[in-house]
Amino acid sequence: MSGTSAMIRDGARQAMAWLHGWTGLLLGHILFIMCLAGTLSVFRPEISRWMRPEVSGQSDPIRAINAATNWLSANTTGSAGWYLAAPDGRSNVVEATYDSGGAYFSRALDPLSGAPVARDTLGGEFFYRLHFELELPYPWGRLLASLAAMLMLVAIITGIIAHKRFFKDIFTFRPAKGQRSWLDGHNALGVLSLPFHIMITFTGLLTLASLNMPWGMTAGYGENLMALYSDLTPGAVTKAPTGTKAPLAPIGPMLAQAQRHFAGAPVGRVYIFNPGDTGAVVTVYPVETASIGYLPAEISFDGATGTVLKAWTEQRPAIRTYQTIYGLHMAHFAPLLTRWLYFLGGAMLTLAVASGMVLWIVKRRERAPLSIGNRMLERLNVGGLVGVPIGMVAFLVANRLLPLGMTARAEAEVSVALWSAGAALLLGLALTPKLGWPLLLGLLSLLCVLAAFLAPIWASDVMLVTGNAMLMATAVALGLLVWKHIRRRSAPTPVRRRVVPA
Amino acid sequence: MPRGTATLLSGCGEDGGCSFANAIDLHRAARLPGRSTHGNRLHARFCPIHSGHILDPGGLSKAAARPVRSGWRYRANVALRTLAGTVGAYGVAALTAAALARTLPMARVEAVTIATLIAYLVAPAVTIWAFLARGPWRALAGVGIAALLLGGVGWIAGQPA
Repeated sequence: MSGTSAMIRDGARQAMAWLHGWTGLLLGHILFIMCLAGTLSVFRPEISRWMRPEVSGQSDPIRAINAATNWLSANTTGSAGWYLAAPDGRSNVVEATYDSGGAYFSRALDPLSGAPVARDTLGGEFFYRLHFELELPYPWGRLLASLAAMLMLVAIITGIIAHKRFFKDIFTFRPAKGQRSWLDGHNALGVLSLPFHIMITFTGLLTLASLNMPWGMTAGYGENLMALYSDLTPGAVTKAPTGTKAPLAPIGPMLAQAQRHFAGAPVGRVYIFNPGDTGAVVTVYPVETASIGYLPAEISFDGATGTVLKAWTEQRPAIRTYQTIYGLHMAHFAPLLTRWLYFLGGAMLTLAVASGMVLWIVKRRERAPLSIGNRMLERLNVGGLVGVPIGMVAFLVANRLLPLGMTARAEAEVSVALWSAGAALLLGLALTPKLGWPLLLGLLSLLCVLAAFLAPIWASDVMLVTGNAMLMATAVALGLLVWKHIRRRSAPTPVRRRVVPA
Repeated sequence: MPRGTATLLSGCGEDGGCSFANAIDLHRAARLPGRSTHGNRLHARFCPIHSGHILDPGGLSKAAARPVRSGWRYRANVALRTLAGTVGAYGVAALTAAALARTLPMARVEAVTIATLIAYLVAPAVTIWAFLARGPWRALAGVGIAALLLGGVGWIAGQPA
């Protein structure tokens, strides 16, 4: 074929640019939600602390878990399991998920009293769940997130192939030149932390492997997936409840023994199955900050007697590899500086996605009048790219404004977030983009100010102060953006100039 | 430079400007009839730069100067490649995971884990290849053959005890 040789050189690059555009566009708004929520999830415990300013007690993990199990023993009936995460210096509460009387609860328990804290909120958990469940029922949210992540992986790789000048792009930004500026910005955002983008997309896909790539598992294990789980975590024990009541043995000694098994690393997660039954099992995992590898050891106790049933420290190279990949995504191992780098990388990926969506429109607008589909996309960009953060900040505002004693308070916060985002989306669709962009961005900026000032802004807690400072910085940045936008509209549209040799 | 020319030249500036002197005239000739899509199509046909900006991985068009980003042949080309690059790529990745899970010489749970990790590398590679292959049918056939081979390996190996 005549086109073949040309295809290898320029055609290939063209095809990849085309594929890059479409894979990025198709679930672009979903990717934007995932990237933004994921970026915020880097600071999940810190956001939770910002959202629960009343919690001031400090406790070591063992005492906190002890208090939590005492409260749960007294206040739950017929539980199948309590899933507890101990405070670890970042989180200052026991994050508990449990069932009682047939209903499921997710509560933050006070590290001293063990009772749920006054301000019932999902805290940073909201952003974490949004990141991969998208507020959709199981398993659809996770499947959609998986699909979006696969598209992103393809978009990143095709973006690389479509590229000509890699290192030049890092240093190239020509502002106020329409499409050229958007392209420069998009390229710089994508290239500057490219290894991070690839890593986070790939590892993110893997965290949902049992859902989006179960075929190796079924090929190896058939229907018997319980065998797979027990092979993966040999130190976890499953037991059926016997029906005979027995109080939970003192948990302090079990946790102390677990800590010795983890070579001194503090306990992190404590799962208690069939509490109050003679078939009770307590499985303990070390704190996730102890190593990059995610949950690299576990130990199980008989809950009624407190004797060790099984203990395991992961040594198998394949499983260690998987745990490390998983841990790289979760970033729980990361010390403060690394966490900020994760945040920065995530923010750049979020902006790369957003600028890519805008670029799709800008590129086509400069070439010819927009088609009806692209005009809709242009407005969807306004409503989506600004509406999603509006919903998120509205969530923070609701956290400050909703009364403390309110029933289903945590759910109400989420409702506020979703309704605000929905309203902003409709507003973006209804207004012309020229009006919609500055209006919604201005609204977002004001919401950030509101969230910061509703907080006890004078507090001495470093988490509160940092959170408020971040909100104010965002507000100022957005304010500048709006101001520039309004100023530019009164000036003539800048025209890209090119030197054409005679 | 008159403003109109600059706007026309900014048509699809992925990289570099128009370096042909006569390009300006062609740009003007192509775009001046109006801002209609008709004008744009002419532009795409005659502009020596932008006529090269065509997606033609399958070599569907004999003459490189003709735009092929329309018409049912182009659409069918993209549709078939998309089929190969989505369903096909996922299928090949899934069968890679299955075949490796059953054949890697290590403990069952480790083989399953490594196989799953590798599958994620296979999927995007197949997707990209589907859009680079010489023709859409070749893309489909390649994906099909790979799937058959991997499926065969997995099937013959059987589920480990």
